[in-house]
Amino acid sequence: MKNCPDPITWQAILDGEENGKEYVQHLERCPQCQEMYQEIQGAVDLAGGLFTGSSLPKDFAQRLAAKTRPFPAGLLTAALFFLLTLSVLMFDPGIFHWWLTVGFTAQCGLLIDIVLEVIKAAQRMSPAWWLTLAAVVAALEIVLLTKLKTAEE
Amino acid sequence: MPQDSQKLLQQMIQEYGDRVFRLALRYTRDHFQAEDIAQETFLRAFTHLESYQRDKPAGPWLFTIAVNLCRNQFRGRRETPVPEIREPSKDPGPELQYLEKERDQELMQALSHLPEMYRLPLLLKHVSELSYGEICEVLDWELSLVKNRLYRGRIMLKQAYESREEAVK
Repeated sequence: MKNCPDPITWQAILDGEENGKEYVQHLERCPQCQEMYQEIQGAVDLAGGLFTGSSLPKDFAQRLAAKTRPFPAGLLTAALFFLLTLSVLMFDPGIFHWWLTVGFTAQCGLLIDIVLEVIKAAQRMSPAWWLTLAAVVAALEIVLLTKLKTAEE
Repeated sequence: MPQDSQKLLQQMIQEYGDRVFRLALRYTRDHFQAEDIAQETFLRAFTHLESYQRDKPAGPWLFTIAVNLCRNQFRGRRETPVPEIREPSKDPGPELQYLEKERDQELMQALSHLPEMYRLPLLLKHVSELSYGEICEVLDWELSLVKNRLYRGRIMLKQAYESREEAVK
């Protein structure tokens, strides 16, 4: 009795978690251990009935893959911009009327005028203002690009 | 990187999907709830892939998520036995099938009388087929505690099952 393993050890042997070689001879000689071993074996066998062979539906992995597919944030932004532009045109088709009627030369002239005005304004303003403005634009762009990248990942 | 994650997820489902589902099925005893839990387990795993140590097997990590989801499902709710919808057995005899089902229901009823601290290690051992070490990781228990509760749980299950059988006789 002194050398008898405890029930936890017998259980570990039955579960294949411990090597029971050293106890085989003891088990053959000890009726108390035989009784205990059988009792534990019965409990282990009964609990083994908890196993079920049920399995997941065959399309489970496919359905899950569809849910985890990356969100196309960049594409969605472009589509949204296109839709907004289209809706503006639909609500007021004449909005670009002037721009389309002035002709190509006038359009180029207008663009050149705008660029010249911007250069003149820049020359009048303090360089500190321009640097600040450029820094703000750059920061905004970085934030926007980072957000888009994170959403796509 | 996203493609790697997708591939890893598919591998995890292939390796552990059924075992996670079976655990949830035995815990909830409801096929649809079990499928939801399995799905949520893998979705959470996917969104927290950065916390998974890739040099280790994913099993214990996934079962930890599944066990927490199972517990949350029943938290604050009184447990009511729900009949489990089982897949039809592949055994040919209808009588044998009936007896098998009866035995299974009796066993599940006996299990439902056990406190959760004994029920969970039993399910992880016999349904999810985890080793002692893996059960330790999932439940965050010491090895001696796992062994002890597994032993007591089995004895209690046997006693509860036998007393139910005697009551039926």
